[in-house]
Amino acid sequence: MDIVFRSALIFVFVMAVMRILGRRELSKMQPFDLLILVVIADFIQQGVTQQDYSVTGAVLAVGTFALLILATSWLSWRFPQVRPVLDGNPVVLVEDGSPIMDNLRRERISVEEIAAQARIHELDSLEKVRWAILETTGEISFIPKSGS
Amino acid sequence: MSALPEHLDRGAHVDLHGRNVEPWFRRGGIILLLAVCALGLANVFGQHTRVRSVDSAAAKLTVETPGAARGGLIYQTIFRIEAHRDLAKPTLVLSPGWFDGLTINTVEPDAVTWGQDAERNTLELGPLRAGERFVLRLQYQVNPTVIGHRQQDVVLRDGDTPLLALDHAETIFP
Repeated sequence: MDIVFRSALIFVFVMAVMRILGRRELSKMQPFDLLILVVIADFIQQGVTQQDYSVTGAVLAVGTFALLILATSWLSWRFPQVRPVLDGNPVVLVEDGSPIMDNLRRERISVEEIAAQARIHELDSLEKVRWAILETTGEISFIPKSGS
Repeated sequence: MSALPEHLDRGAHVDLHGRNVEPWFRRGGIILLLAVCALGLANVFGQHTRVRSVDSAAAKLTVETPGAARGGLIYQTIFRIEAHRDLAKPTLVLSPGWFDGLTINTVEPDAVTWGQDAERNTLELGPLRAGERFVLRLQYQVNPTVIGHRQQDVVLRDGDTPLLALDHAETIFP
């Protein structure tokens, strides 16, 4: 029974930590970040299953995680008012070529970083960006000005 | 001013009206994480060893054991007895909190006799002359499913005569 409680507790904790870290940190994975993610996964596994090496234990832990993922996804779809809590909200970072400094500061994104992201999207200047939006996934989407 | 993409709203997504509270939630979460790590550094969650002693005309008893531990951890408890006078049947009486939910890997040296007094376990250690010392080591592992606070009281007796008592408590974190 306690493996279900441990799984649920760890699920909520990891979800909270991911929201605290912020979206950008999760989407810009460097090799080091990937390594840290694997180490975190190992810590989680030890905390959830502990000395339990049984198939039943694994089924219970994975089952609990799967059900909670399903539950949060359903809650987010069914009740739009909880969506900002579970997934966050998009934030507009650039409007008509001008960075919105308050929003960049709030999301800890520099102008250089957003310019680099724009270049990845084949936009050589922020002047050519009509809208840059930090999506809930942590990706930055760019909508170019007409003719850019 | 360009029209915003569909499903985006100037107030909510550009000016972030009503979203001033979000960064404070994030900061609150960071402070909470910092607090948990600081408490961990301060040994609140175990397993720093505490040393406690009681002394009388007959003997001195010292117990070295953690006040907190976590599921699955391995630790050692040491009982040191120093006889101030001859003790014919020095006996340690340990409350159930020393055994419930804990695996004892080894007891060194083993007691002459293990027994029970009410629900407490008794370990008769063999005679001690005045000035002699006896050190008993127990190697523990916390069972992973155990959580909570427990009394781990210990009494040193000579036969049936209580000589010393030491109150100890241990908290086991998940």
